[in-house]
Amino acid sequence: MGIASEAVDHGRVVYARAYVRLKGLLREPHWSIAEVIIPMLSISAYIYMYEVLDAPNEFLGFVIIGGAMLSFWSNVLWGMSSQFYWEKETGMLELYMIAPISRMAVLIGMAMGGIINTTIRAISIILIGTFLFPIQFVIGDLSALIIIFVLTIVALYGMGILFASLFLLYGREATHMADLMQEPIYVLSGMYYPVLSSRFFPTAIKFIATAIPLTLGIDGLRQLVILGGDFSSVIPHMIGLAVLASVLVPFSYIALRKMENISKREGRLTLRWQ
Amino acid sequence: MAIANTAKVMAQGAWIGWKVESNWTDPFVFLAYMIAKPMASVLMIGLIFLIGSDAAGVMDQQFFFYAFTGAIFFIYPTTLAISLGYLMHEDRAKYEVLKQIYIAPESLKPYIFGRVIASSVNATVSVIAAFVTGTVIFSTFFGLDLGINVLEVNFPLLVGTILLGIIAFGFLGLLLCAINLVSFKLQHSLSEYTTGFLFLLSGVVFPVSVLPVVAQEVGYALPTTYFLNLVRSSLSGSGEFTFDLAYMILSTAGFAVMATILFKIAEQKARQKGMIDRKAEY
Amino acid sequence: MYAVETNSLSRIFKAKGKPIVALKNVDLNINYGEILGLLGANGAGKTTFVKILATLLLPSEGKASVYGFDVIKQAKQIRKIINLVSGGETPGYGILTVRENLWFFSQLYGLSGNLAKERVKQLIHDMELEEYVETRMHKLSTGFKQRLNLARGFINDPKVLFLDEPTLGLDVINAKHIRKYVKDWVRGDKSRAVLLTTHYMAEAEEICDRIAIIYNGTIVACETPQTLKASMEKSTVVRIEVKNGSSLSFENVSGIIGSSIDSNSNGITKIKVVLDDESRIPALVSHLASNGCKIMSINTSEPSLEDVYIKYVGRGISTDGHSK
Repeated sequence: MGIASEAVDHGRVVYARAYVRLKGLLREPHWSIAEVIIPMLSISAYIYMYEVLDAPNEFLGFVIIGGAMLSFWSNVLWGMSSQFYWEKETGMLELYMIAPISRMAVLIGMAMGGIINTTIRAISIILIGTFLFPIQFVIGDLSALIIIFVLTIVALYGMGILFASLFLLYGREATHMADLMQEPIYVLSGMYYPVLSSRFFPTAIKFIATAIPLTLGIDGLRQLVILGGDFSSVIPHMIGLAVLASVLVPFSYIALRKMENISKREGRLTLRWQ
Repeated sequence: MAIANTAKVMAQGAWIGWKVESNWTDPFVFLAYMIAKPMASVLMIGLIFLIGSDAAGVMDQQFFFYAFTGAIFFIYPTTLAISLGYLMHEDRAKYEVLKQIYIAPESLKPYIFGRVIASSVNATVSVIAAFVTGTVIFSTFFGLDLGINVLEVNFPLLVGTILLGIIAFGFLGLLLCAINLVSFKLQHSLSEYTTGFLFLLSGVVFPVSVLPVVAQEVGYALPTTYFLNLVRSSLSGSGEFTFDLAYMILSTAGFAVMATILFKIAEQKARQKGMIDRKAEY
Repeated sequence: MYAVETNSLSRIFKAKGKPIVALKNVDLNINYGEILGLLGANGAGKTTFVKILATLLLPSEGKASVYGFDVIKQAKQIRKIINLVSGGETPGYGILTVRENLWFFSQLYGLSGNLAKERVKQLIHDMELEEYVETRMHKLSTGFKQRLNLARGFINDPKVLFLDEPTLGLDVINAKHIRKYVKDWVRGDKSRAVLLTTHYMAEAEEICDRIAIIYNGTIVACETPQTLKASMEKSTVVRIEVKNGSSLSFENVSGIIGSSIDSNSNGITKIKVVLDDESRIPALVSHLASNGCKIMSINTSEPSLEDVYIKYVGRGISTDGHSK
């Protein structure tokens, strides 16, 4: 089979899986509403907290950017990584596994379907936040903004595929582990405050934090849209994200294949309630 | 006899709650999960305080006490809301036991309250762990003192507040069960809506008075607001608490009555529409 | 060459305590154009066998091939030509309609736009799902969900189809429809083959060309239904109804190849005994009497497939798939 023909087949799978996501979005619009309102509640609480502290206005913007990027993280973790676990519970996983398709293509399809929904959610959060609170955004450099955003997404979704392989093998434990990891990741990645420029984080912690694509992505975006930074101010972020993406994506592919083999060997691939 | 039966069902509910929520891994990992998760949330609040105060150039330790204790004791309504918010969906669609529980004589409400007991135990462990570790971390690494003198803590008020809070949040949970019994639309988002609104409106990390007037009215009607105020009063051993206590009892009673009535209505409706054993799979 | 071939296939699961031998040295072949039935009680190893052939599970020992492709090394090639339909499950996306679900699966098998459309249309017609074409899957009844599941199994026009208890939990009409469809499908092209696992004797007898009986992970017999029944020629099947027979046992009675005992709420116990010779009947009656049983009726009959099963396994299968 030629490369072009294989690419077409992969494309079909990606489109088909994304289609399911998009149809869900259109047929159950209340899901989208929930995905905007629920994060806005905690975002608003943190903004009020900064107001009581009399923190500089840019902190309000930090919270909004963090909250918007949180949408992508949630989509990666719950809309993609844990999806194989949920597919297993409903009996769909074995049908994916017996079909002559790439597992990555299925995950990418999930991600693509989710990205549209997530982008709408992130933009809504930014717009509502700007409407409700006195926040000002200024785009310093559009090309830098696009590069930072794209690199963050690629690295993040690479991480998501890596986690998906763990969900494949460890099922219910992995779901709880992912749930356990949520808040520590918010803490380390500086979802609602700056990490890399803060004196309260030791260098070692900052270094560990940069291994999370969100940390560099959020910080880079804040530099560009709130602090008035330009291209040169985010070059270290771009390098860091590029390194993460180039490591995570191939590594996740290998991990996915390995975990699938282990699952098949141990008989866990179709084992439910695990 | 009826009381003994009810107690038995509640005990079973508590046992099942413990099993379902903890039986996914080994006990040490589960403990770590119960401690690490709330700890991370509390850490985040503390860091927002530190970084925000540093940027503002003012460190208000009293506000730190306010936000820190609010974040920690908010674990109670969060744990109960999440556990009970998913209960109907899980028992109906995932475990498919809801219909069996329902047709057993007078079992559904006691079962739900049994689950409240299990969640309350989990929440208590999380609160204690988060309080101790949070206090140690912030005092050791960041020099932040909560200003709590153990000898001045009003323990009877603290314990009473927690018990009253569990009752209030238990009825809140009953209300969430009532909603999910008759609707599939909110089965995944109801808990999060609830905890989100409570977090914003109950003076958890900032005073209710900071909110717009309309939101304040809602905030002052919630038992969570008075729960947290009473916890703060008992820990600081100071301040007038009679007003908060009276309002807490009043709003808890109001919640209890409303939740009981709505649950009864929901049961009828669910039975009418055949929703007790119907699954909605997406 | 066979459509499916296994040699000394074994599968052991590691469990806390002792390992579970799900399959032990299974040698089984499926010919082209054949429906092979795999008959056994719950836990006999049927689904494990199917999962290995469907490339969902690796064997612990032995070899297996589907259409000449090795299940371990050539899984990719196998997946293009197989499909799997499991009974008691209705996988699919509840939010999508019947037509959309089928289209979705067609894309997993690389069907182009027009071909996918045609195939989906044909399957909807074959499964009599026209009325529900635009209905979301989660609104279908169990029977129609299973029809959709079966339609999905044919979406890629597989060469080998694995049907794992496909009529489980279905009513008589739906089950009959599915059996007829499968039979006609295989007859339509000699290059196709089906492995059907079931614990319903009647189903196995109705549509299978050959039946393999599996017990405790081992194949104890594999012949056509007629040959299996003919093997019972020298045996005698005795059907007895007794009162006070609920705690009866035939442990120390000689000449009994196998038995099944079924008590009902009216106090009547139905017993079926397979004897190695007719002359054992008086000893059997005497055993019943000495155990306090009152014989209500006794007759001999032609051996059925269930009797064959009892002969090879020593006991019957109840309607819920458990040994009795």
